[in-house]
Amino acid sequence: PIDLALKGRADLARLRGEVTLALAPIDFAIGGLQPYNLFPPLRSYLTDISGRIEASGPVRFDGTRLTSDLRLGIEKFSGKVGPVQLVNVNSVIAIDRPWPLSTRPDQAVAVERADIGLPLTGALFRFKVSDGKRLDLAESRLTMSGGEVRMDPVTINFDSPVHNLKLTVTQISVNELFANLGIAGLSGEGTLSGAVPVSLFPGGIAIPAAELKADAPGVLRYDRAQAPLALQSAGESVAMALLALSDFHYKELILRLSRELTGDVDLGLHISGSNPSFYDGYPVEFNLTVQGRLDEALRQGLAGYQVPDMIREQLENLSP
Amino acid sequence: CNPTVKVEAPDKPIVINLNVKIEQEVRVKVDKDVENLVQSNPALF
Amino acid sequence: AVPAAFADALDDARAAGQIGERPDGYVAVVDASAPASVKSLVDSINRQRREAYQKIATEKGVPIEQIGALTAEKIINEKLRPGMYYMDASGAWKQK
Repeated sequence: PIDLALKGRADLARLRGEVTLALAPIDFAIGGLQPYNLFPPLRSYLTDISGRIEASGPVRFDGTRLTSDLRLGIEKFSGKVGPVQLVNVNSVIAIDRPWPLSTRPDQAVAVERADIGLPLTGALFRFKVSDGKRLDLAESRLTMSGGEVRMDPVTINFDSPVHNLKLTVTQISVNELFANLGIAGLSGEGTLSGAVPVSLFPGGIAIPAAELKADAPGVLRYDRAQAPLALQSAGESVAMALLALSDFHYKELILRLSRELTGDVDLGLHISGSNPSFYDGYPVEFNLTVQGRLDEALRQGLAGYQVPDMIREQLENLSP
Repeated sequence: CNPTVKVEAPDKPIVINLNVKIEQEVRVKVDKDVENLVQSNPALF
Repeated sequence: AVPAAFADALDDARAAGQIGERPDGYVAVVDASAPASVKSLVDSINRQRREAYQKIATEKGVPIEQIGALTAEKIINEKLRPGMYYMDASGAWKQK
């Protein structure tokens, strides 16, 4: 059910001409039409896709040289692109050559949420695609757990086995981060900053060793009632630890996080400070390690996300 | 004289170490399948 | 199943250091100057592995990434012999 209108004129003898293309909106749906139904090689790159695409604009050919001024509209596009889960992607992309695919420089795409082992939200990426196999991403600004994340510029080569992204994180909220990591019962005040290296494999995402440090003293509270049962009945020293953590005023907090491709997450938390009602504020140093599948907890929806106006306007005046 | 006990504040803080392991029931569920997959396709794995 | 002639092509290529195992469950060319036949072997192996992973992932309702990664662990720990190449979590090639 693809509605594609083509009109134009061509000088077949000299293989030259121009065709104006108008592709009516196509709606993908999980369980319904998928991109690989239109273009089979996409099967291993795009899975469980929903959202709308449409395209319009002139395509010129001169011998084998193809150029175009196509506008590809992407609206409320969600699903998995390689190993990265994307939610609500919106963009209008200027394509200056349909095959091998190439876009004009400095294209913009807004992404409500990108899950790379940790949820990045409210992202605006600037990019260019060249020769159908290279994606240049300029520096990108996103948010994570209420803090700002900057991703260094990176070139994604479609046939290279791994890409190392470097995220610099500033002032993420301790409270939101623990919620995002799905550690029930752990809340706090204060912010963390640091570096999160991400290894992007075609088949999965690893975070080799992220380290975040407290920007200033803060407070951590662990609600023993929400501790896993095994923890609550695990004897004296654990009971002491949980008591200390019930209202812990930290001077220093270092969080080390690593996520394996299997989805196993290892979390190391080192804090020093005291709890006023624990041995009346006697200094305590606390080393907590948590191992296990925390990433399931990361699949969370988002309320209140607005598509940036600049892209929404382009989408509105795209439909012919 | 009355003995007074003065607690010299020791400088060493109390150190608490705690290791939490979250059960991997998902891991156990698929280990068998992965095992069979590799064993039954030697040329592929 | 994989044709017999193919049976030990993967193992020979791994032994020759042309192909290595990635932590996401797929193979990759280690030595860029390897012949084109090695590249096509890599593509064919990866396509078949992805199908196998997808089947288990769908049956068990688990992300395909996890099946690939768990298989990689098993291959690297149990099947690779000393000297063979594998890639670590940050993407660097290592030898067993």
